[in-house]
Amino acid sequence: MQNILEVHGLQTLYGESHILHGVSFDIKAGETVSIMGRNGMGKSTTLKSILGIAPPRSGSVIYKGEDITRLPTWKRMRQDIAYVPEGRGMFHNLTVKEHLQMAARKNSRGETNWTYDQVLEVFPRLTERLTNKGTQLSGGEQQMLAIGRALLTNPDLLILDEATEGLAPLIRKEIWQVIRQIKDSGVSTIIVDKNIKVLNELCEQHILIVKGKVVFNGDSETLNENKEFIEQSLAV
Amino acid sequence: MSIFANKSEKIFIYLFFAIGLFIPLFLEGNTFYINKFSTIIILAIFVMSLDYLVGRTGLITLGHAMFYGLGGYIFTILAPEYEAVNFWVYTFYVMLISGFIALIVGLIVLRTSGIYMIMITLALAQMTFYFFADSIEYGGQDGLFIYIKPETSIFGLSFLDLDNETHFYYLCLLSLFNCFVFFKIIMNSSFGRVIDALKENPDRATALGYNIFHFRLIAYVLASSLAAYAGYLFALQFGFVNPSMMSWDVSATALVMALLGGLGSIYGAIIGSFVYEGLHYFIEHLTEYWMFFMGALIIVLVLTLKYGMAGFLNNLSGGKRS
Repeated sequence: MQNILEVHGLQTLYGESHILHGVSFDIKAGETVSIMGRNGMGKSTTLKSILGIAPPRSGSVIYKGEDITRLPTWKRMRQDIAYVPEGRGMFHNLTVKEHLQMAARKNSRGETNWTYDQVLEVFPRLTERLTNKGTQLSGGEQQMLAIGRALLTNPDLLILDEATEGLAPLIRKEIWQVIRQIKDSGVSTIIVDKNIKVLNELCEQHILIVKGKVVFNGDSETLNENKEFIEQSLAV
Repeated sequence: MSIFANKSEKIFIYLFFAIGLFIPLFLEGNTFYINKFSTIIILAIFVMSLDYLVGRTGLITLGHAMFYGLGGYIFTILAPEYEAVNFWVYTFYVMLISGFIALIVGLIVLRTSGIYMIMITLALAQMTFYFFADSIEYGGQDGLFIYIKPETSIFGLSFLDLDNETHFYYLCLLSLFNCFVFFKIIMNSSFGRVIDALKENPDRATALGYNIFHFRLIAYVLASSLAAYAGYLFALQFGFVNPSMMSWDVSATALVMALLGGLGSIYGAIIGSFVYEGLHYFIEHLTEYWMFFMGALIIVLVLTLKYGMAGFLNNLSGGKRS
C-alpha cells in the first residue's frame, strides 16, 4: 500500500523551546493511526508541523509523494487534508448551518463524498441546532460540528486532535461511532487521544511520542505486547 | 432567505427608504435641505464601505478617505473640462481605476495588521494628501473644479439631470440603496461567511483551506472602490475636488460614524451618518463651541450604546443580537 504521509526528522521550536526532536513516521493510505502521549509531549505540535501551523525548523513532510514542507497552510488544506483542532475552533459569529456552508467544497479531484445532508444524517443532533451560533452548542455538539465541517471539505486525510477530550461518556461513544464510520469510508485518519482501549481496537498503527521523540511505532499486536511500557509512558 | 439580519434592520431600512423617497415632496424645492440630505447620503455610502472593512472584515484603516478623495480626482482628471460625459461610463472608470489602486495598496498594507495596518494606511493616505496638496498640475490646496456635470443617459434615454438638486438627491438615494443591497448579498454569500470566519479566527479559516490574504484583498478592493464612488458623487455635488477630502480626519470621522451606528451592522452606517451630521447641525447652531459638546456627546453615546445605534434599535425591538 502506498504511503499517504511521510514525516521525516521534524525539529520544531516555539521560540527558544525545542519541542520536536526529530519526529519521523509513515502513514499508509486508508489507515487509521493513533498518536499517543502525555500532555506537553509534542502530539499537537507534531500535527501543527504537518499542517504548517507550527512550521518545523528542519525535516520534511511528504504528502501523497509530494514535499509540502514549504507550502502555506491553506494550500496544504486544499490538497484534501482536514483538521479538527483541539478546542474545536468554533466561530461565534456563524450559525451551525453557516459553519457547514462555509466549509463545504469539492475535493481536489472534484469529488463530493460528503454532502450537507449526509453530515446531518451522521449527526442528527446538529439538525435541531442549525440556527444556533457555533458557541451556543454543548461541547459534544461543537465537536460534532467541527468534525462535520471537516468532512464537508471531502478530505483524504483527516486529523483529529483530542476529539473526545472533556466530553460525557455517552457523547464520547457517539463520536467514536462516527470515527468508525469515517474509517469505513476509506479516509486516512490520524487520531490524537488518550483512550488506549478504543484506539487499540480502532487503529491499525500506533505512535507514542515522549518528549518530542517517537518512542514506539507499531501495529495493535505489537502494542499489546508492549502494553506495560505504553501504559507507563501515558500514566501521569 | 431574508437579507435582513434582524427585525429592527428590516423596519429601519423600509422606513428609511420610504421616507427618503417622499421627503423631497415635503421640502417643496427647499434646495438647502435637499442638498444637505444628499451630502449625508453620500457620506453614508462612504461610512458603509468603511464599516464593511472595519466591522466585518476586521481591517482597521485610517486611510479610507484616500479613496474618497481619489474618486473625485480620478473623475476630474479623466473627464474633459468643457464637455458633458456620461455619468455611468465614468462611474465604471472611477471604480475600476480606484479598485486597481486599492489592489496595489492592499498588496502592501494587508501584509500588516492591527496597529501597524492603522499606521501604514494613515501614512499612505497622508502621502497622497500631500502629493495633491503640493501639485501645481492638480490645483494644489485649491483642488480642481468641475465645470460641466455629466449627463445620465442610458441608450439615449435620460431621466436624471444632475444640475437639478432633487434629481441628484434621488441618484444618491438609489446609490445608497444599491450599496446596501450589494453588501447584504455579499455578506450572505459563501464569500461573506469566510470573511466572517476569518475576522473571528484567521488561523482557523486558514486551517479550513482558505487563503485569508486573498479574501482580505478582495474585501479591501470592494470597499475602497465604493469609497471612491462616494467621493465621485461628492465631487459632482459640490463641483470641485480638493485634498481636504482625503485628509486623515475624514477617515477618523467616518470611523466615529461607523462606531456610532454599530460596527459591522452595515445599516448602522446610515444611522451613524445621519445621527452624527444631525447632531453636528443642531449643536453648531446652538453654540460656538459645538466641537466640545459634540465630542462629549459622542463619548457618552459610544460608552452607553455597546453595539451602537443599530444595537440599541435591536434591543428596542426585542430582537436577538446578531
